Amino acid sequence: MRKFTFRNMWLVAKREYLERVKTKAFLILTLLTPVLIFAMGIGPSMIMMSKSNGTRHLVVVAPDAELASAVKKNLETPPDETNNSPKDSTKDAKDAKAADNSAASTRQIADIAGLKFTAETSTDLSDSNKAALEASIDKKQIDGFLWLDPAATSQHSIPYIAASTTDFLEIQTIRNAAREALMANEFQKSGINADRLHDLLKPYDLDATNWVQGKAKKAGDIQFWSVFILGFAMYMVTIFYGMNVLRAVIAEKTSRIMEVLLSTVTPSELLGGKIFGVAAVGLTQVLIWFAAGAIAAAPGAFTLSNMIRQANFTILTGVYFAVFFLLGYLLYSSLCAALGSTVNSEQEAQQFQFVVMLPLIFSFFFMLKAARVPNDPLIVGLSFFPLSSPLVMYARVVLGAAPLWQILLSIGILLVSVAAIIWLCARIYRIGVLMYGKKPTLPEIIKWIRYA
Amino acid sequence: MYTVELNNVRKSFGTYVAVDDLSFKIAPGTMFGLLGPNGAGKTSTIRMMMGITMPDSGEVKMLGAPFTGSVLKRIGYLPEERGLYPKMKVIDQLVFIAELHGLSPAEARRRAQNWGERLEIAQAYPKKTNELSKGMQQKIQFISTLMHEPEFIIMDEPFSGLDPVNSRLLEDVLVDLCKQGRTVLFSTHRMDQVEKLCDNICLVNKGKAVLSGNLREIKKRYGHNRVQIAFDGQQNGHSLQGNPLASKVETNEGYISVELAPNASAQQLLKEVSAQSAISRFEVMEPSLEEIFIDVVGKTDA
Repeated sequence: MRKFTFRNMWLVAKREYLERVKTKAFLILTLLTPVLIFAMGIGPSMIMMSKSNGTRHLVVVAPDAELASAVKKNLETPPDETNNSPKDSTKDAKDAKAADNSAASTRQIADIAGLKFTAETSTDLSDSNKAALEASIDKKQIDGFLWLDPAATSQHSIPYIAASTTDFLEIQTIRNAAREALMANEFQKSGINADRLHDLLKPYDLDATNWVQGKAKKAGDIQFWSVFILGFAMYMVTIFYGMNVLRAVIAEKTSRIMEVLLSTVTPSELLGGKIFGVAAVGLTQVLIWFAAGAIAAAPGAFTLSNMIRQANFTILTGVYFAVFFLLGYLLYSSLCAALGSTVNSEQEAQQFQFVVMLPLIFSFFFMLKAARVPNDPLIVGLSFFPLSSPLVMYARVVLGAAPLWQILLSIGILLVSVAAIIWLCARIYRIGVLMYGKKPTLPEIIKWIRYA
Repeated sequence: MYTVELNNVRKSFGTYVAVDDLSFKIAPGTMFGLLGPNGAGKTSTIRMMMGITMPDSGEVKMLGAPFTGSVLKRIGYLPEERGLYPKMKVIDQLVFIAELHGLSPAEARRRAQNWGERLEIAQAYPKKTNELSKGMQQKIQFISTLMHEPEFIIMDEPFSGLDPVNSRLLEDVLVDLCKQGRTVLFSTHRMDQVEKLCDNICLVNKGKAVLSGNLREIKKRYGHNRVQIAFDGQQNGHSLQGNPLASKVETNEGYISVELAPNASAQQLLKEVSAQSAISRFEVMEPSLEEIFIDVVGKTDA
């Protein structure tokens, strides 16, 4: 056989890359996907948030006037739990601050949803008043009323009767307003200064430090995110561009360009070039998307860039991310190429697609396990096994659980595996490609590998 | 040194024997016709010359040495199945293939331009392949085969899909190349072209060589057993019916066609016929390659 040259592989890769990047489909997909990501990430919340408007007119009925007016105040100027600056005009703001530790404060929710409340207060908890209020809902004089009956509130239940109870943002705002007031009231009764309320209720964070070989490392969710992103990115890109590699391999079979090409390039050059060329297209697209994601980083929305920011990459983690992503991607792309070299048509290939995707899906689960128990013997083993190592080893690297020699060994095994798969499927390809029309049996494939 | 030397080559696919004990040689600077009916093993033979498949036994020598991959840079191969990337620009395609053959992009472009002008196809270069007609694609493929100036050119059915004018254009190119000392192998079942262009032939059937050698010698060997006679006046061939010199007499418009009996010579016939009537034309016909082809293939099939 002729000697493998990188020049020819480069030429094949260049052609595959340029021919793909120049197509309209690439342009459309590249432009459209960030729009879709943006739309999926932010769109629904924007649509959801902007739905309700107008002012709700409520009646607050409580056993004592003080509680009723506290609720009224909270409704008309919703407390901002996350902001404790003294500039805040609401007196209650400070007291209420820690009561709700969700990301968005009651005020933010109310602001986003465009909710405004006006409230009247009452201390009449009689059945006749309740009937009268219900009647005024029917007459559309009020939108609803809060019935702070001590029998219910002592059971941590806040009865709310209204014409519409479907808008969960509205419900949440009302619940928070009532809850703040009730809690402040209870604290006051127990002799605790309501001003200390938010301090008392502030949750405690576990400040975990990972002690590895004499060095302290900060642990946390942050690292889990980068592992998750790697797994997700690899999965998506492999599904999409792995199939493109497969299609590129089949393309030569169906158009019979093969015979011309095989007289100038070796199958290894051709397959290697195809894998690298199509992989480069995928990377180009992913980079464009990441860039677009970073630009489109909208406040508060769960965009990709937000995740990256949260992942808090160090340079070394970034390098490992790139290395394991590239190697994993190449490995799965070459598996797709191998699949493409044994089948005759795309339809046929689709039946066997799961054979390639299955190890990736399994690795994904093991990666999640690795993020939890990085030194489990099974996980350590899988961090060397080429099909799972890109994800599992990366998880271990991020958690600081893998010594350098293990990382390098894993990378080495991956490199050798990619080369071996390309070499192996070059052999299958070489013969399979020229045996048009006939589907090879497994013994035949094995024979082909041995042949030539 | 021969450009190609096949010695007792055999290739089978499973139980099917595609090429069986085939031997032939192609001398440098000649045009060689590899003939045979469909499925005779022509393409299988070529694939072994290109190293796409290996012979089961026997020897394939290319350009004077046993086959190695490095020889491929000196060979141009036009396969029967057309192979061009349908959505790629013609010029990019030509440059790509030439680069794979080791040319620089600039040189590839220059040569592509020259060929395009010569074959009157340069105007199609900015187009995509699938926008071209079949004949135009054929020309492009033809050019891509010759871009790296190969010493040995293999043409598998090169003129299929071409009109007579373009067919002639390509023929002239091949004749020129041959005059420059390059060797050309035709694989075809179009006998008229082989007859016009080739010096030597090998006729294969069912994987075996049934006839090979110099085309003129083969024709001579096949004998001059057919004679056409045209008479002055209205005399026709009835007088020859039953003549022991003629084994078969056909009457055509204006002339009669006589197949000589075994051991009968055309000279004897001329003497006898001219004694009876005035002759305006008496011609000993060479058998056409097509007749030989049908005859030989028919015999080996039987």
